[in-house]
Amino acid sequence: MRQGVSVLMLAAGSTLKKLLGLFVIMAAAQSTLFYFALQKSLDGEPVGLEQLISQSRMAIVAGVGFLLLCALLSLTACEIGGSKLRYTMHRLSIPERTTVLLWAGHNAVCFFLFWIVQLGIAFLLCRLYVTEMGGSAYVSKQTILLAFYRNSFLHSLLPLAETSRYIRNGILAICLGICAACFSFRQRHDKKGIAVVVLAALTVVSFSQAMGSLAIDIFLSLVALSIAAGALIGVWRVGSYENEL
Amino acid sequence: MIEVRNVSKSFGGKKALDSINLTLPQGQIVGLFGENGAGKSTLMKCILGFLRFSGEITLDGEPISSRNIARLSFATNEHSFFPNLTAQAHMEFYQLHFPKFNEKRFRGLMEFFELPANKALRHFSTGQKNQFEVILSLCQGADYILMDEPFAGSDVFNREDFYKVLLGILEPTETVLLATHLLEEVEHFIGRAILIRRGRIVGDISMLELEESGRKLIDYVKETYHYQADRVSKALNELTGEQ
Repeated sequence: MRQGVSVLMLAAGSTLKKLLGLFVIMAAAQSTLFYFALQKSLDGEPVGLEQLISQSRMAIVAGVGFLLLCALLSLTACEIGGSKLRYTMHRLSIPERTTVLLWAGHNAVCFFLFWIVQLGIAFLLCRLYVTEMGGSAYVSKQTILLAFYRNSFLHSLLPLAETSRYIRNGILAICLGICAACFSFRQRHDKKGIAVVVLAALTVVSFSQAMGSLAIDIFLSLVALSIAAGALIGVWRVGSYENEL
Repeated sequence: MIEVRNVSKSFGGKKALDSINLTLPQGQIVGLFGENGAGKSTLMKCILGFLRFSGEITLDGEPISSRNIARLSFATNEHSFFPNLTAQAHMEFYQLHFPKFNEKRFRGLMEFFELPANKALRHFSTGQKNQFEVILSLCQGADYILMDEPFAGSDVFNREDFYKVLLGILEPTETVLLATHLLEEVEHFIGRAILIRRGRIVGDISMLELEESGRKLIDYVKETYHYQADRVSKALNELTGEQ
């Protein structure tokens, strides 16, 4: 048990600061872009919240932040610091495959955190809009609620009553976590891992979906599950003692 | 005892090890010598289970697997530590995974080499990294410590210190297999010399035998390798056209 925790702490220790930094930069970038778009709206022709979200390029910044997170998690435990970690990983008291699963869990938590933080930023910026635009025809008690229904990006962050979207997001976070952990495993075994690249690209392209896109959600979930399963099978095939380090 | 029986290993059709037979009893300091590409590293990696091979390698009669791998440790000039962790964090991590981790020895060696405990290893100099790699391998509580050119890139003082410390701290049951080119430097510290050439063991002699025969290790190596003493003068003559 303690050995497992120690391996988890290895990953957490090397990602925590970078993760926090990423969140801060993303929040700063999104807030700045949103603020400028809001000021433009206040000075000129006012626009609705959904339109302002689009104008502030929030989804693009989130996409870049997400890709950086994928890179950060995938490169953790890769042999990029001039050290052959494979020799140590091979000799630890817990099998390397178990380590992959533990790190997949850690990565999934990071993706969930990213989701929560992005949701928090979006919600706070929506509150800012309501405060700044208070009294105008664009603001009512339901402005934020409606924006989370109408704007695809916001709706995909907080799908409200659309359970299938929550499940899709959960599946994506878990599958991305697995693929990122498999990437570093494969790198340590001199093999290429493209599963995380494919899944990250797919997620960026198809994350924002309008309400009621059940078929796309199911399709994306199934594709993500297939990619993650393929990556895990790859790890099991490579094995530990059977493989050349 | 580690027993290597009829071990062969090829890389893409090229034989790196060819029918190696070797025994390593506990309590020896063994030098493994050979030119670049002779098979020193490959042999060590086969012993540690990092490479597939044909033949058999056993540790006290058992194949080397996850069950007994903790009885072997490895120091390599490629380094095997976590660059983002501090020395202190390594100690805590290794203590959990290697129950026989020798904290007293770790602290003593850290102090001796004057290595900082709370600095990430990626900020260490090459010499410090080598020292730390060796410290880790010596402190895991392993019975067999395999060292593959652990001091490549380190200065001579660094290496001198290490050999002295090594002799002073090793328990009678600990075995060191040290792969190096530095014959003359280590000949006073080892008890046995194994010569490997083109994947074959071409020499295996105890230092006592050598001493009794009045030869030095370098003489034994030259003799085994059929070294031609006039090789250099012949080449120079050919190059310069002088007779």
